[in-house]
Amino acid sequence: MSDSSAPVQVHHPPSMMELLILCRQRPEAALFSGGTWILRSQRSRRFRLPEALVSLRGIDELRRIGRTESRIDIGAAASIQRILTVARTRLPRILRETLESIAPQGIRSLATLGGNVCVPERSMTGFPTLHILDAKLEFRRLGSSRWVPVTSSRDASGTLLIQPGEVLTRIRIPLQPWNVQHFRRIGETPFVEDSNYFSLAFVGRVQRRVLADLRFAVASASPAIYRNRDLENLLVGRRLPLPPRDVSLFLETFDEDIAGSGTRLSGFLRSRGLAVLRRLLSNLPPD
Amino acid sequence: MNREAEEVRSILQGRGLRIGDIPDREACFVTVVRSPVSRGVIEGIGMPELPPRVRALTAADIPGTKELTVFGVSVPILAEGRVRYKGEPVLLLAGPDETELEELAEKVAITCREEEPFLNFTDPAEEQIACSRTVNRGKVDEAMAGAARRVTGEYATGTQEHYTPETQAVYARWNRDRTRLTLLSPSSWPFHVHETLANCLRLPRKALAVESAPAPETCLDGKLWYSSLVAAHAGLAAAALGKNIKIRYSREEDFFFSPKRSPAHLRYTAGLDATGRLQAMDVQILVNTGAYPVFARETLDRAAAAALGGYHCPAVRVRASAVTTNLPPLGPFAGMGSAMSLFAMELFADKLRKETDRDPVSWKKENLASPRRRLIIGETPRSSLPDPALLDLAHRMSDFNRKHAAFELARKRGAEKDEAPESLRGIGLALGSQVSGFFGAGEASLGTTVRVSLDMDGKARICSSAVPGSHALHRIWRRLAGESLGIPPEEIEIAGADTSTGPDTGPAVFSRNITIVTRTMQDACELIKKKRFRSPLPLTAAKRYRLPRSAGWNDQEFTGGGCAATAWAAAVVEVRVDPLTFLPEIAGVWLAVDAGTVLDEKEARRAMETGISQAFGWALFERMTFRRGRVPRDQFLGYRLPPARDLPNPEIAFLEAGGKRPVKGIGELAMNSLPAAFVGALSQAVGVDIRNIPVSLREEDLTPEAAR
Amino acid sequence: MRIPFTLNGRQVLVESGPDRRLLHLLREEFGLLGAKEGCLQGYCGFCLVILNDELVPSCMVPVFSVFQGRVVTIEGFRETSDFRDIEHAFLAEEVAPCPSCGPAKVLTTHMLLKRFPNPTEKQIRRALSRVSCRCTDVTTLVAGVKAAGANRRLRSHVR
Repeated sequence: MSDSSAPVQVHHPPSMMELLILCRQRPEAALFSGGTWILRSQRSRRFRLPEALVSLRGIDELRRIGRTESRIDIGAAASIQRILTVARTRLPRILRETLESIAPQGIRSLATLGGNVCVPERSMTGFPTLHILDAKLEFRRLGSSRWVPVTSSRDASGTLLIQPGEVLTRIRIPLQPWNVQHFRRIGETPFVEDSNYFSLAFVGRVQRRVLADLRFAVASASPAIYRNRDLENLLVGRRLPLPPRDVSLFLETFDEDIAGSGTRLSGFLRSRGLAVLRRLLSNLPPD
Repeated sequence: MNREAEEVRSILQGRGLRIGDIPDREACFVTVVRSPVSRGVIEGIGMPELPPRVRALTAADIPGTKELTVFGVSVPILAEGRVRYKGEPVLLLAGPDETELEELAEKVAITCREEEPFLNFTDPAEEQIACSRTVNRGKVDEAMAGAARRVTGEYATGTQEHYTPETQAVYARWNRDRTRLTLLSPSSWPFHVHETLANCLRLPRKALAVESAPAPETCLDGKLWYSSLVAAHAGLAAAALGKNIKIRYSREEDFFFSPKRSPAHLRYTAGLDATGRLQAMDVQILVNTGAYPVFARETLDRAAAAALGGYHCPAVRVRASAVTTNLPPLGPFAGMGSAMSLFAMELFADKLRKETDRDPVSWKKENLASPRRRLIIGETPRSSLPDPALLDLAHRMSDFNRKHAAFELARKRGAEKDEAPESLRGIGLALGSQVSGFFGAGEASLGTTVRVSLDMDGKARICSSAVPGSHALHRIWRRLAGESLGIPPEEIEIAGADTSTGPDTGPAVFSRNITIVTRTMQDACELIKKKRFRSPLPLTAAKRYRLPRSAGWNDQEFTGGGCAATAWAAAVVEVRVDPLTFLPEIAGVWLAVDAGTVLDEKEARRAMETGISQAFGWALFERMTFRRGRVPRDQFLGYRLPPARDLPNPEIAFLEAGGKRPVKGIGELAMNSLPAAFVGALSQAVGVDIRNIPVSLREEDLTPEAAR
Repeated sequence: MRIPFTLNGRQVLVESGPDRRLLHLLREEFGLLGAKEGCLQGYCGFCLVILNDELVPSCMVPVFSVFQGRVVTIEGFRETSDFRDIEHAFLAEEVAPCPSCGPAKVLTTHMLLKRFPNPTEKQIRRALSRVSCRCTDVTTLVAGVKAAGANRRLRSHVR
């Protein structure tokens, strides 16, 4: 960060191509769309900004939202508010609920889904939902692009695996027939430092009284998110209603597991997480 | 379009100016450098090199009185020698560039010899007690010993930020030859600003004028006396630089360092007879006043008078004490004094009725004061007593009894099943009151005066220093004065507060504007009307407020009618609680109100609803605590006023009663009744007796049964 | 740096450090005092302006990011028929906000009505939650917004 007297270099690439060229030349420059993470809790009249900035405002492509039968593509620089306004009725319910929980209402028009994915210090509200929906991230650099599943976009410590010169351009979310979709945020806003909160995303597919698929993930104010496929598989294929013994085993494993994970959930939040999961698992619809 | 509508229109168009918006490119600014410690002695101030355009000012630069005084309590304008809270103003930097001042201020190093601060108020050391109020009625110990049952309860209420729409601000402007300084101040007490400035700058009264802000802003007690301190800082800088001065606190500075609501801790013991009637009450109230006990006497009197709410008890002992701590000044806020007591008493009442297995409405009715079974302050005019019809009305509006019984049953069944239901539900009912104007004989000392004149052309002019909290006050005044003088309302001009021309009307607090000041204005109009028969126009009449004869306040005994009028309300709140997250949802709010004569029903409803939002803020949304002598930084980012989406549409009904009834202030009624009703509802829903606000929904505050 | 953008329909070019907040630029360089300084954290909504058709807190926008953008403040919006629908409705319903939040509430109403011409009470309350102020009661505000919607629907019908 520079102090207010140091010069700040700002680039305004007007197109994707120029953005990618810039990113190759200045890989250290910070990409800036809504800037809510960089600017949060700055108190002085003037912002303290990184020395080199690339503004993404001029690139329409990064704000585009498109949908086909099987997926929805969201430009990384589309504001949360814009996604909710433009695509509200076409979003999977869990994604809509997730977006409505991101950031205080006042700055949802600046905060972006791309930003939510890229914040380095913690896995933000949107991350668990994208994780279980099998979302993919498009990273582009000059001359190439790659799609990375959200599930493998961070390393074990929670660091986003993005290469120098790469830009997150799109987030692709497959539209799958989940008949149970649930998102809960419990605790305070993540904008409060040292906060105690978690978000829990849960989807399930029930076919002919059988739990055909189940996924859930939990994020809190730490970089790591919690997801355990073995635990999910414990219940997949079971007939509904789930036997109470299985549910209890599931919850006990979850409780032990999450206490040892990097999510740093307090006892209270863990107990709330258990209560939410118990309710969800006990009330799965027969079809 | 009337004048008030014109004002609103200009606000909607973005032309409404706040004090900080007044354009003046030549004006200089002031940044306050504050104490880094909670308690200690200043040993030195390390200054950065200042450019010639910037001046530093300390207490040594104050030419006159170095303190401001509010009803006998002094507060340093700039701390000298000793500092009493983290953030206490020590030094001012004045200059033309706000950003430059901000940067320089960071380089000022105030070193202090730190002393162990007093941060706790619930177990105070003797030297922390600033003042006390004791009330004794009957033989408490005897009655307690003879009671069939003894019950105790302990309650706590938290602090709250005023969060005034415009932060603390002032604009000091010299006249052309710099002989007269005019201050535009948002203060709700312009004459106090005037007095403070005159003393501090040692200026003749006539060399100063204090005018109110260009547009009305909700009167919040954050600007009751602290605006005088901010104005004194501006005055000092204006005198030192010979320039106009603008001070505008950032929201953050305001949040951390300006006064907040006093937290309180209350202990109740009651002796009941076999039927549940109150026989003896022993109440202890501790009020945290922060570093300076401003308005502490008034707070204690109001707290003591409301200690038993609307109930009668033959033997009562109340001991209320103001406790100073090394925290920012904690004092007046809507419901000051009364709100804390009424919250505690109503929850205690709920505990008492449970002990004797009574339903809430019948317990309250049975213990309610009446002309023969007196309130704590003794004989009270009938119009100031709680009317049992309020409880009936609130119950009818909300279907209270049926819902209360049904939710109780559902909760018990749920507990047996050991399975969380879809939602937990609860309903609470609480009674509250509001005293209009200063307590006891306080009003008499203010000399509230309103002047009305009637010109040759039949136009009238009303002069006062009343700072209106909304556009409605002047609209109501025009209507009332018009009716009295027999002229159309649009022919009446209302002068803005200006201490150089208008009379002193006292502070805008305790709904004084709509009760005492309005009454005085009407009296002045009546005087004009009388004079008109004998004397030619133009005519001027100044009327001074006199306490009603019935008041007869005895301060020693703590008895008498005291205030101008007392309003009452019965509030019902219904909540739904998510059993998984404990997040409460306010499902309904009903208020039955005895407001005496209602001057403008629409406006009265609005005032009530604005109060409802503040009350829920205090009880649930607005969280503020002190850690190591200050509000932690993360609380600024997390502090939320109740959002519109989380507030219900309230149902408000005014009690209709015949006869000539006084106008009663109602601005604080919601604050004085809703929190207890809400907490009662929440307690029923989660099955735990919650005793503190703001309500905490964290594990440590809920028992394991509740967290099932 | 030099920042060209459209302000209330007019092309402007301003020389400013990139680290300045848009709110301060509007107030100090253009004398547009309708957007008010509040919390400087984007929460209270006092400083709302319309940037590229989105309602944003101008305190959280560094000026470099309005480069070639479109900014509409209350001063520009008040010249439109859409504003007059809201103004008439608020005056008729006696919605009387304070100078701090009044302009923000007008802009919020406008953006809500653009999206939902006939909003439900829930939608109105949600939208108004963007502006956090102690001044007015919600019931009157909701009535004002509904009336503004009716005015706007009537006008578009007549047209």
